[in-house]
Amino acid sequence: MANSKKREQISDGVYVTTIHDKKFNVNTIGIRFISMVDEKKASAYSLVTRVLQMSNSKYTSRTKLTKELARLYGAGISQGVFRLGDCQAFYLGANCVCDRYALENEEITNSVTEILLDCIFSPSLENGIFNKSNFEIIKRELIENINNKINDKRGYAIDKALETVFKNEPAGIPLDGTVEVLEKLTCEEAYEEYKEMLKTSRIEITVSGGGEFEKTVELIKSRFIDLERDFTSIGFISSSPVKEKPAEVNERFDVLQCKMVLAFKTEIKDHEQLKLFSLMFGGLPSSKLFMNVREKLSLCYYCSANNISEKGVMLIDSGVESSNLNKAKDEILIQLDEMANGSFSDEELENAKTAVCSSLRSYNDTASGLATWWLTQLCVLNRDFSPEDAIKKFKSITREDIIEAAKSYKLDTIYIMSGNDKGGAE
Amino acid sequence: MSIEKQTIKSKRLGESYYKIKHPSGLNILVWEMPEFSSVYALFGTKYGSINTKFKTKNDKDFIEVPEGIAHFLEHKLFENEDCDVFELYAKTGASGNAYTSFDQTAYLFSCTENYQESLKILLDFVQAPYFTKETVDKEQGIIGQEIRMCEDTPYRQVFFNLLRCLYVNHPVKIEIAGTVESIAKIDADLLYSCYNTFYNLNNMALAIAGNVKLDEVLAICDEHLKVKENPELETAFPNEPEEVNKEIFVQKMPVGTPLFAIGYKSVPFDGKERVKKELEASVLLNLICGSTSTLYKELYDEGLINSNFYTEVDSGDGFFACVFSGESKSPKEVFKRIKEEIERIKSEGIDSDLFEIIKKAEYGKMISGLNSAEKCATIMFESDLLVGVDAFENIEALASITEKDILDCIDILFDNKKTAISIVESNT
Repeated sequence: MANSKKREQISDGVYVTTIHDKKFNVNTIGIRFISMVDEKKASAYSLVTRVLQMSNSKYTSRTKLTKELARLYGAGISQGVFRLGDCQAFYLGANCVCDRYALENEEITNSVTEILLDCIFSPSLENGIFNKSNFEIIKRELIENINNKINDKRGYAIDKALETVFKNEPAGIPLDGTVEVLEKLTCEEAYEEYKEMLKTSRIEITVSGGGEFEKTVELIKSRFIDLERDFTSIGFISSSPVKEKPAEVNERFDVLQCKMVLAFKTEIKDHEQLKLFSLMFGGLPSSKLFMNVREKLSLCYYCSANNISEKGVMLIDSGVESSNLNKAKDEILIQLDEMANGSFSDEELENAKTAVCSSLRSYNDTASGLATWWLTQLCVLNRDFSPEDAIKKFKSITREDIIEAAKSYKLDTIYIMSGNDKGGAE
Repeated sequence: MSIEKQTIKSKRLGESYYKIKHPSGLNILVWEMPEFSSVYALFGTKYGSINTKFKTKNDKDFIEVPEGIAHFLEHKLFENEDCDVFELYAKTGASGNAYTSFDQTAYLFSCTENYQESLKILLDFVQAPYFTKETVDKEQGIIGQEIRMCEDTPYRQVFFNLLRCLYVNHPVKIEIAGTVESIAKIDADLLYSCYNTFYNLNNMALAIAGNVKLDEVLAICDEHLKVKENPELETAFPNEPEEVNKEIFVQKMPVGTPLFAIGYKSVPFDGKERVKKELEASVLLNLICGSTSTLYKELYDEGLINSNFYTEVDSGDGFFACVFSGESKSPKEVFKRIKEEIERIKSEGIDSDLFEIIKKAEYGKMISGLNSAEKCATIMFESDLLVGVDAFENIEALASITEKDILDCIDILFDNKKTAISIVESNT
């Protein structure tokens, strides 16, 4: 394999993973502040990473910063929040083209890295806290974004289903927090949360791409080494109890197509076993759900299975005409029974293995894909497990393992978004 | 069979690929990337939602077909006489898919092993249509659901409403999937007629990039491409006036902050001129209200736009539009300010420093646009099939753009008399 991976701990709970392969033409530096959060912290940390992304003490406004990044061949500083099991990762990252493309021999990667590090360690301040007017603009935007989640009906339906699936669990805390908390959050409080985030989070840094990274890693180390830390290790995974009776949530909107999300839970902890099962069940165009619910019965445009395997949860999400809701739900349950009864061929099992192995091999073709892979393995699952190791594991899964997985899933939550009354009677 | 082989090179990037004019009439584009594991292939036709009127040398008059038929045909081609194409890909481990846009239908797969077998599947099924009354009826249900989903998607509605404001007659204003009513008119005979007209190798391209070998690809093509007579296809578009259809359209549906799309209509361009105009338009969009511009900062600071604001150029056979999209509590104010900024630039000229910065950023974007087999295959495919140029044409065109070029085209591309706004706002 042409790519190389190196990992080191640079401070208490701070790790840098470097992935290099000269075939890549871009570089990505990703810094994740990982923490188990409640609603307050989820809101505050999400807002803080947005504030940090927009400026720093050298480029004090968003326009100045974007202009400098554009000058560095359209580099970007991005922000995001992701779930890692029970925790949330607050991400700040930079991406740029490799230095070999510079037209005037500029040092692109290290310049971009310095800008990113300045955003984190040397934000644009006023009277010792974030600039208040910037803070208010960004807060308003985050609130708007939360209110706009309904614009993407499919994503909204999944989010709402997950709130019920993980009710009263850390994994149920909404990404980006809540409007109620954000409205009350002051600039002073946010600045305190910023210091807390730097001090107490687990910090996972990835440097990946086609560049030479020795100097980049040194730059990163030099800034993190002096950071005051008060870190206690965090657990990423707890099992999610299945509800005695499936919870049902119905919401009505003025929509033409209903969205239905079914969530199932299992106590099985084997990620590869669960992943392979969900692929056979509803993750591939040759899967049971695609072939039956969509192709054979024409009930949906989409009906697919996704795994949150760390939490033993499988989601089936679909877009269905209201008159077909019950038919679609019944058919999904019938197909699950069919899997549990072993009504699938050895060929279907082999095909799913071939598909998953093919996609695992392609991890080596994107620097950011590899970075995400290693983050999940090394940090969340705490195992040094390469895509090649995963391929071996997938190949060893048997027919009985699939039947066992199918039998183990219990229905936990049904979420339905339906149209208003006039649409509902169609 | 004798073949015509050309190496297309970019000195600037140190990259190259092969272009082969196959005796069957097909253009084959192959980018060998031996250090990668993946392979990505696209096989498709210059036939999309806008091609609703056409004739061949065998027809006396132009034929008009229902809206959404290109997309319907794409769905149906996945069904062979004896099996479903996904079942065949399932054996090779490839991930297959397809898409239809305004001016193309493309069938694709990605994989990391057995690419030769998957390539054979791709070439075979796209050349073997099989439509019956039963299979056509069944598809109407699935596509009906897809259309419903699009109708519930405000981002899509705001964009198509804009096109309906900008265009009076040109079929770019119709939904790619058609409507539930229009697809009800589709039957097996119509599908065969469209298939036989547009799925001719002279009107198609094959692009493949990644861990492949040119000789292997060509050997498979020689064996699997079916030579057919060139039907000498002609497509026709209704006359499109230079003026817009209407200046504003507002739709109500469940959304948070209102969405808007502001478009500027211009005359269309072809070939290398189209590549150049797309770039100039992109640079101008950035100068007017890109994230580095003064106007962007003002609108952002005043809370009139948020980070979801973006710009794009939409162009093809007979259409060319520059679009600003985003979310705003006051879309009409954003529209007014954009119009004013365009007039200001026209009278005061452009910021030279910003122009150079934007060019550099565009250059960086093009490089990162070549960082995977998928992106390399797509750019070869679309440049050749849709525009008739090489994949590196945009990099060359960018290097040669001057401030004068930008000033010369602003009147054509951004005419405040040929503009419209579409808004989607909450119904509660």
